Amino acid sequence: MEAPSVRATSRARLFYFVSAFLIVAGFLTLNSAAVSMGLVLLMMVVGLRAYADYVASSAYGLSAEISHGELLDRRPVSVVVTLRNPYMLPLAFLEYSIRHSPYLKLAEGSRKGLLIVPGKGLAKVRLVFAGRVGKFTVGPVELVARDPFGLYRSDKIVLNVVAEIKIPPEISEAALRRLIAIARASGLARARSAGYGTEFRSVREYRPGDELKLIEWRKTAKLGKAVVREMEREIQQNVFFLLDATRPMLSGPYGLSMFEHMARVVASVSKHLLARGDSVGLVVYSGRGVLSTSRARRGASALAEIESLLASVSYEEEAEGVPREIAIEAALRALLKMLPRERNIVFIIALVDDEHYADKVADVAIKLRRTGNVVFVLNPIASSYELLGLPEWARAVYRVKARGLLVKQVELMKSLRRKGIASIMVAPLHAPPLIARLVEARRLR
Amino acid sequence: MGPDRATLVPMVSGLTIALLVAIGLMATAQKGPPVPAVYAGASPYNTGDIGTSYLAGMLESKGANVVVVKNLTTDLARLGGERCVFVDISPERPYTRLEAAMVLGSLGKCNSASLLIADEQNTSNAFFELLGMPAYIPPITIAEVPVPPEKPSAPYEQPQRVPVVAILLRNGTRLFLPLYPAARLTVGNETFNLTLDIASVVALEPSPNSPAVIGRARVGSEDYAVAIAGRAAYGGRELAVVAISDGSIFLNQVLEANATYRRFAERLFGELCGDLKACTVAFDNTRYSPIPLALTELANQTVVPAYASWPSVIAGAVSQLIHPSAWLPVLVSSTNELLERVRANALASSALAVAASLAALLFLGRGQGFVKDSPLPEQREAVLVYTKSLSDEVERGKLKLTREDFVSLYGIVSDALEGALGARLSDPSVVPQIARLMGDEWAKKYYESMNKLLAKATGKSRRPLLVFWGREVRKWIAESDKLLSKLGYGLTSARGYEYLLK
Repeated sequence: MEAPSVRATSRARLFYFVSAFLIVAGFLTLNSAAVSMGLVLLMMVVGLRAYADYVASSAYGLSAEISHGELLDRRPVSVVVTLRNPYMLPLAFLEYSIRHSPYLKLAEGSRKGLLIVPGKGLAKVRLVFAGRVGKFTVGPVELVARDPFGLYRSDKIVLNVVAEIKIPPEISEAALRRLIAIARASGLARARSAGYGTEFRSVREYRPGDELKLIEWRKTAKLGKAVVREMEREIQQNVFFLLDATRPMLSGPYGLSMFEHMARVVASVSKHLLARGDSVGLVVYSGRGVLSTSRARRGASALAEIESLLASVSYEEEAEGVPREIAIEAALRALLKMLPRERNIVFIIALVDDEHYADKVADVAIKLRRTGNVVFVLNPIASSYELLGLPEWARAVYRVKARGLLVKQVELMKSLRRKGIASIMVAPLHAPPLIARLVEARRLR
Repeated sequence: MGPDRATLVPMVSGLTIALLVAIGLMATAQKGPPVPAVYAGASPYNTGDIGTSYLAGMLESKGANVVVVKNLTTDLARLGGERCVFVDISPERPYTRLEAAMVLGSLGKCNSASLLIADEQNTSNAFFELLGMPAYIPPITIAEVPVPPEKPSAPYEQPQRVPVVAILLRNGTRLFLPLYPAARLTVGNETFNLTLDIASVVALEPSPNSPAVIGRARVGSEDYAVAIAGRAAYGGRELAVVAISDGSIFLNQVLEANATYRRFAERLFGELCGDLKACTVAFDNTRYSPIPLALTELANQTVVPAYASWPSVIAGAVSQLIHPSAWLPVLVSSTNELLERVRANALASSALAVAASLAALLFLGRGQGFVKDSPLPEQREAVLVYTKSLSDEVERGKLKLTREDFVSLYGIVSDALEGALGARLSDPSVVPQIARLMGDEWAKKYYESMNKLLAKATGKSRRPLLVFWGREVRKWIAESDKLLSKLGYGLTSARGYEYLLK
């Protein structure tokens, strides 16, 4: 690769002119001081050019690495860009600009400025971004070598170091507690049948084969015969989420877009369901393709996989992205591959805001229902998410102006219901309890 | 696709070249101008009438290796090879025995050597002496002799006198030849009738080894030998010797004008050389003096046409004119004078300084170009907004509220009341429910105003006649917000009427 070329800026033109003027005027007026000053100025310009050349050619030899701290949703994410100088001389006046995904907001630090990288040393630039769910890139690093007076600048030098950061959704403890409370308070938490479980149901006479640890010793002593504790058998459910991550779903205030909110809901509900022994599967579809768990899974590893999938959704522009009507069909195919031959619960979470897409969602829901699954369509109310990004004083007018969008969504929901599809409008503040109630309600049937 | 065109790649910058040229010019100027010199006499460098440059050029054009001997010590070493001929034509300085020996000795290096002497004076006799040839060329002078009158003249009449060539032989005999005697010279089997020009004779001494006479001039009834040819030995080597007592037959003005003389010269050298292409012909230039001439003397009539032709004179003049010593000092002093005048005038000096600076700026800036400096672009953040233009306009406060917006507002309030209280705004039964929250009077006024305006907005009523919808919508947004806030679903709160939708 060729070293970048260094060019004189418009400021250098002034310096050239002044030094030439001093030299010529000095000769004409036989003023040696003027001539000397002109020569000194010229030598200074030449020296600055040489320095800029050196810095530019050395900048190519810089090694860069990008590291990050813990990646947390709705928390600051710290990213450090380190530039190492392998040469003896320091590189001063390196203008830098760190590129990153435009959908990542910088909370602290400066993504462009001037650097001095000491000889045989390193310089670090720390950036703190506001974490949000999804996959983002930080890098490359662009540099321009300059001299101290800005007389010369090099062409842009790009250090092709790019770090990918994947931020999983936050699981709200408050939401989890609410979910558990809902499950318990509604009496839907327990399956009414005896079996192996963790909840006590009643005592009964000991039968051969019962585990000795289940013997209720106090009652045994009292009754004079062996009795054991009988636990409740919990009914496991297979719950699947088909989550729309196409462009309309990614819109909304920073950190509060429909996708991010629903990703947190899915993660929180999944954690709750997995803790209760349910199996959870996830299919995320977007214009870039389909991401899915391999099958419905249980336990901590299932949650990790779900979180990883949600963290892999990219916000970047899809140049030739697949339309969402086609993406949802691909998602359906992926889902059908992993659906067990049982009665499963499927939540289709998609922003249904036009007839064509509504028909597609309805088709998918009907196909899933025909294979014996219970299907719910959750339609986030787009305007209620947008509101959160507006100042309070603007919300009233926005609601008035955006009512037409809401009315349309409501009409589309009604059309789905007319086709027999359970469809629910979802706003930012009430998604997790809603889903939990629906799941627990199915558990008993 | 054809091959790439060759392109010139400058190895050195223009400025470096300009500097080197300037240094070269100054050094050359300091060295002084070239001073062309002309040679007097029958020098092969003499392009004038009395030079032999034509003969040298003619022999060279026929393939002979023509060598001009400018220094007997160094240049005779160039003689050698198959055949050599040393040419001695009308020398202006006599050969000493040593010089003649040097010439004869160098001829010994050739396989076959010849010596051509064409001399009307005794300046070449050293050759005859060293070679032991019984011949010599006596010197000549011009004398005037009286011419006997054709008829008796009066005693007082002076006799006519004519110039003649007076020759004094060694034996004291005087000969008188006409200035331009007619002669017959034989070369090989060809005889040439030539007119000699102030020529001498070749005097032969009685000897059994006399050379053959190949040319005679008849004067009256007498024949005089004017050319001989023989062989002689020197240093153990034999060489052919041809001596002609007139050098003028080989001069430029004769050969250029007369084909017979050219033919004679060709024939003679053909005999001496054999194959001209294998022959080295050495013209002796050491017998002629160079005359350095300054520019002003080149036009002197004594130089042209005798010593130099006009083309060589012009070439010499041009070489002096273009030499830096001719124009560089003048240029420098003129520039100095100009600068002195400029320096005396402040305005002129300033203007010159500015002009020179601009020129320097243009020169330094050419090729590289100055770029407009700008910082690196900063990464822009983007937000995906579902209703981008609407959100922007709402935030900027640029929205105009219309009757349609009032209808939307009415719909919002109706939906909220239905969700919270079970009755829409159009239903009169909602009034007492509102009254429980906001008071009777407010509820009644609110109910009536909203429904009246709805009728106006939807065209069902014409009253009120004049409505400023922008103002009205804002007013009833504020009033509606009061009501909905009481229900817990205010228009400005994050949790709005959407949460009441089923």
